[in-house]
Amino acid sequence: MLKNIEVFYFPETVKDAVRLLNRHAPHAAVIAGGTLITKSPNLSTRVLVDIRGIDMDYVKVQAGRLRIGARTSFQSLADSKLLQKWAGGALSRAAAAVTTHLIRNAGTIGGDVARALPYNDMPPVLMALDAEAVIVDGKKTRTLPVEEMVRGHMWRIVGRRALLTEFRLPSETRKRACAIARFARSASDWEAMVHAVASMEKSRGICRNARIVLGAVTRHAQRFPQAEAVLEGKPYSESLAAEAAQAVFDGLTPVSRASAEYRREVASVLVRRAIREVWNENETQQ
Amino acid sequence: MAIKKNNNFIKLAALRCRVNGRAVQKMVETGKRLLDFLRSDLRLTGTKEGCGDGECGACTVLLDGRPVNACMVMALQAAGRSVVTIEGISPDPRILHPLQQGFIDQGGVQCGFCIPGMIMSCAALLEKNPQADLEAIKAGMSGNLCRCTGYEKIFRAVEQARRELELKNAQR
Repeated sequence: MLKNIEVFYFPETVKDAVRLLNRHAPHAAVIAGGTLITKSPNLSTRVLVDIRGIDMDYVKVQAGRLRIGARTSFQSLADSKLLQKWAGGALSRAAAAVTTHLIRNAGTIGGDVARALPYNDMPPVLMALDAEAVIVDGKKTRTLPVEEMVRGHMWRIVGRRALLTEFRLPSETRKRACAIARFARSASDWEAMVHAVASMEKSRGICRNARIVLGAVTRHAQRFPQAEAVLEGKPYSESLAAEAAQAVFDGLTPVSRASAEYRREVASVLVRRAIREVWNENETQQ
Repeated sequence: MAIKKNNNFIKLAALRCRVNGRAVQKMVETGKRLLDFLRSDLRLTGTKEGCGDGECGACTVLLDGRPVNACMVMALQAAGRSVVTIEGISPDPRILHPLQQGFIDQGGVQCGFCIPGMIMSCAALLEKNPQADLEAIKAGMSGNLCRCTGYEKIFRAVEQARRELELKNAQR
């Protein structure tokens, strides 16, 4: 519980929020939905900056790129008509699979990435779609691939004075096929055992720009370039999918929860399934 | 502002919000959860604490119309917003909400601990999707666990309430 909280702020602009984070660093933290910060609070946090009043709840396309506000709840992502069409609706499906509707109503995509626990559901999909995070830090605004963002808690990567405001997906990912294979003890379990995401462009029967990402098995969601290289530029076949899955099996060192052998086995099976599904889904779109 | 309790100083802040349609203004501990504020400060003990960890849904309340786990919301996050608890689910306190009546008629209540949360989730579901079929009802209650009934009677209770609400809406 957040017993040590002394002050709550409700800034209405990004600038004000960043100013407050700077003034109270390192004891300030951002609160949006609250589902992660109340579950695993940091006891040194004494100031909470509630970003509810800031306009960061949107899904829109601008100049061909998809922009998702960091404060958009999982349920809004799941319900977004725009997201249901982007990359075969992968992000929207991933959001719809987040635990229960009670958590989906409160939890946000920004929190899922900023507080990147190994089993969080959004980072692997964002990574498979080459998403970038927009971070406002003092006077500067910078972008960072989500892949870099999730290497630890946000403050280890960008410091405690920064605010994550948005995710941007490149326009070419709109037509990318993307499949998710998630395995957990129950459908509503927040902690997936293994979470595999495959995405690629299918150009005249050839795999292009393949992305293979695994969540929940290592300390943070991780891409597998070895497996991606197996697929790149080749025509799809069952044996190719098996070869990519083998590359994941060989390159993976799982940590914690369940035995490593078991997880490597499940990971390679899920990767094979995800590649097969991505290949077979929405052929007509190509 | 701070007060001394058990030799610790506790910070307080003013919280203004609407609870069950009424304006509430109270000094509240800054580190308090919405669940504790409702139960201990406002004495609205219909909302229960089960796991306190976002798993069971016994603490479900409506925050600006959307069901959330009150154990995972800070009291001050409710500032300026509307909260509805089981005590405020029926517009007229003398008449039970069709969901409450449904649970009684169908025998959907055994120990009763999970029921306030169940009803809040279902109320939001039927508001959003008045024609919810059994599959939609199951999905809409995915965050509420019951360890007694095995759910069948609960589903029947919600289906009864849905029919009742449909009738009421048709009569309007």
